[in-house]
Amino acid sequence: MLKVIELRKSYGSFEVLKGISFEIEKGSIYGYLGPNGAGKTTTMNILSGLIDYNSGEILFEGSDLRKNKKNLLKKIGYLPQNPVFYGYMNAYEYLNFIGSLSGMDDRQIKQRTGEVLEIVKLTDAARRKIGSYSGGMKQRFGIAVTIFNNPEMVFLDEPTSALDPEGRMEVLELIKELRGNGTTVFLSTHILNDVERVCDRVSILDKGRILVSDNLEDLIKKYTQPIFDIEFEQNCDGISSLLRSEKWIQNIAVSGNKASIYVNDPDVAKRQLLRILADSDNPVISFGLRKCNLEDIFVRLVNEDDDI
Amino acid sequence: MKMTTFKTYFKKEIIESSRQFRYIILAAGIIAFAILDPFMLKILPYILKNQLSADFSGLFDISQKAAVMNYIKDLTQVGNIVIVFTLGGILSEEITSEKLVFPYSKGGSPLGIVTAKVVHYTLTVWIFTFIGFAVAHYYSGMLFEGEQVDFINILKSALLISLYYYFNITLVILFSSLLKKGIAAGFMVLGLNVVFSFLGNIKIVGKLLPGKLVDAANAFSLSGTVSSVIFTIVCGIIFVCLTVVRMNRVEVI
Repeated sequence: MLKVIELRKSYGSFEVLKGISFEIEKGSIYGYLGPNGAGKTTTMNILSGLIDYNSGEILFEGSDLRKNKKNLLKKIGYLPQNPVFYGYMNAYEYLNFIGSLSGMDDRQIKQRTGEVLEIVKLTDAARRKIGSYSGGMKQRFGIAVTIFNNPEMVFLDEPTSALDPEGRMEVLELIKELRGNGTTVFLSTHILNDVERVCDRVSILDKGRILVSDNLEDLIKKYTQPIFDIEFEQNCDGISSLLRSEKWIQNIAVSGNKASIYVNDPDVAKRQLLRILADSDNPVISFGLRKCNLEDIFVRLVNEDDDI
Repeated sequence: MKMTTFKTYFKKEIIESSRQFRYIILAAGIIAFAILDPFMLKILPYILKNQLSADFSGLFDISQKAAVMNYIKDLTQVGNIVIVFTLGGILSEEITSEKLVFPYSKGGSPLGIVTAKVVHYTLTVWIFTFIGFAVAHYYSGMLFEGEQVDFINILKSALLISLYYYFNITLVILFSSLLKKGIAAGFMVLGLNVVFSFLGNIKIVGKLLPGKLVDAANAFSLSGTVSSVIFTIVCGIIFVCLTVVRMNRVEVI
């Protein structure tokens, strides 16, 4: 649905985006991860047509964003990190304003206003001035504004970063509902837990470069380290001599009654390791493949990038 | 899309101006002197008589014409200050506070936004100006018996002052798109007004500048104002075009 090719953006001599490329499938939630200052918001602002870029190509359903900006903007919704509204208006007035700007007629605006306020659970507060809303309410109202003209794709810039846990859950549920309705979501965040909960694919950005782009499951599988952590009932110094002859064993680290076994073929190890250990005199208390979560991958990749 | 944006923003400016008391401020800055000036001129001789125990009425031109001329002077000084500082932030505030992010991301047209603001505030100020002149004419007519001014001539002066305001409104909106603070835009326009008043002393240039409109308004006549009227209208259009160019380029986030 959206293809970004070699996108570059500089402010003076400082290059914020250094030729990033990625592709987003229709109807998916795409996580865009990165530490503060990595270039996430700049990417968002460019993709939503708010700022220009130096070079590269942005294709929305095959159509160039720069050449067809006005038409494409109708298909895109953007929620900035800190959404700002006309605080003297109430929710009805502001949505009417947004609907009119989007070229909707009065009947469409009235119908859609009821729908989106229901979705973001602000119907009861709709007659209050927006300036009196709490941070969470403003964020939810921002989502209402973003999806008001039924965009095919929405860009959400750190929508949960300023929210309490309850508010975060509500917004994440809303994001899942958007996907359920066929809307493609591009979610920028530094909250890894949010990405793990809702995203289908993820890109990790650091210092203006994309370090990795992959399906979330494949990414975790790819970065899962082939290490089995085993705890025995007694001291396990003898385990090394028991396993060393196996070809799929790479290294064994023993500490008291715990052993970490590094393997070069995890699939073979999964089938054979436990069988071998069961034949030993030292009973196994716990056995597990060292799990790797998104946070581990993120920290590892960003740290590797720092070392370059 | 441009027309849609224009209509939407025109409506938004009406809501904003009424909720943020801009109408009241502009009305006070323009209409209040229509009552205050004739009243002050009426009581001035009495004040001086009480303070100095002498009759100074002969030293002053106390007539409807003098009262309206005083009103014109206050309009071009205090009234102008009220307008430029009230409108100085109407673009800069929206840009710096990122209020244009949603409108721009929904395809709002900068041309529609700028023209809606210019047309709305120009019309508002024009309406208040004509009301102010009508009030000044009626009230000073009630208070004074001296030299009278025909209402048609009052309307001519109102039209010329309205054009003068149109020039300043388009100029302050241009500066509002260029500068981050509304107050800075206001001072820039006032500073340029001072420069224009100096340039007005040069015969060839003086005929063109908006200051000529004020002189003609004081004379209650439209004669000799054609070049200045054309120059003012063309300058206003150029200022609007420059503002649109700026708003097309400005990064609203």
